[in-house]
Amino acid sequence: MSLDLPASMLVLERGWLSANNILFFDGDKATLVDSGYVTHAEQTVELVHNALAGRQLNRLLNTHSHSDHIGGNAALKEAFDCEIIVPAGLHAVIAEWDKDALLLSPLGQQSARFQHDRLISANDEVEMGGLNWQALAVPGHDMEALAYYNPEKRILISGDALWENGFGVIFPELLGEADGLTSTQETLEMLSRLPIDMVIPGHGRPFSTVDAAFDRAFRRLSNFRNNIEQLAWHAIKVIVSFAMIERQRLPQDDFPAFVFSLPFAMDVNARFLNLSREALVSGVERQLLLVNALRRENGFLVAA
Amino acid sequence: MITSPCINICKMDASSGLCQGCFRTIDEITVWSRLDDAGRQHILADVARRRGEQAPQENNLRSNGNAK
Ligand SMILES: [Zn+2]
Repeated sequence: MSLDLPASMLVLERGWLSANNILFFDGDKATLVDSGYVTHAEQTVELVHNALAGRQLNRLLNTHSHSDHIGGNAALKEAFDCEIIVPAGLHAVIAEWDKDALLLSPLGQQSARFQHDRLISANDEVEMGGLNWQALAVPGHDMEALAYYNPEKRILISGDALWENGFGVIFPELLGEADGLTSTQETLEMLSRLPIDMVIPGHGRPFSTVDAAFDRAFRRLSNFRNNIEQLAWHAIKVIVSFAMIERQRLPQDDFPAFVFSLPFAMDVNARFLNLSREALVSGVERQLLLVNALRRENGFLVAA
Repeated sequence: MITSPCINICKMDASSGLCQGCFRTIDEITVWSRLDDAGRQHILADVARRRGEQAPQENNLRSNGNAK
């Protein structure tokens, strides 16, 4: 089965460290949605340059401000002098480059500072690839996140609000900042009422098995709502795994200190799980080895 | 559907023109999402061949990666 997207759109499918980049062509102009992780920025610029084939990238739009979606913003601005447009709720956080609110400090992640040129709000419309896209508020994973929906082709650019298998970690709940579980529920309900033929998620391949994805997402969310420790544990694993993917490999003996250096993991453990430091480290290591997110190699732990 | 060979290294090697992680060219990464299984299979076969040819170099890159 090949997925038929309009010829005016191109999905640059990336991995877990970098979110997908979605390129839209309008004559000799182009717009990109999301820019990947900072350490991949050079490849992102090369991919975009190649795909542009002489067109001009004049706009870069973000779904939300996590490091794997905005990490290439500065490099793309530098390379193409494009206008950067971010969700309105993120104005202050980005303008002041608040590393806590951007989750860079808590998650031990990096980014490159940029300034946005314009804001986009929920219910605004933006034309990309000759299609009209509605910005939808999709709070949950990130309270200020936007998704982009085209009713004509019934395509949803979901960011991290909906994946083929789940959704991004519900950070606001774990950080005690907002009722992220309820917001996620409302967001999924809103999205599931839309006619959608195709989802282009922030991570993973575009997919058209939309009902099954909603079923999985609602089920996962209900597990988290019934058992917040499950969400906490899931989040710690995701964050350690992401950090290990960035690091690639680490001497086995350095792994405990590595986990302890991630404020978010320590904070979530203290708040929800209360495991001893040793139990936390051995639990994370065991579970990441079990799902092949890590492997052992000559005294090193290696991200798979 | 065949899944992407990306392993999150995502850095191009200037001399070979291949991604240091997944051994694909920029063109191959660019078109991946538009390809059907036959097209993807074709790339994966090339990737497997290149990986075999460049195995010693790959090990070098990996140990360089440690240093940073
Ligand atoms: Zn995110």
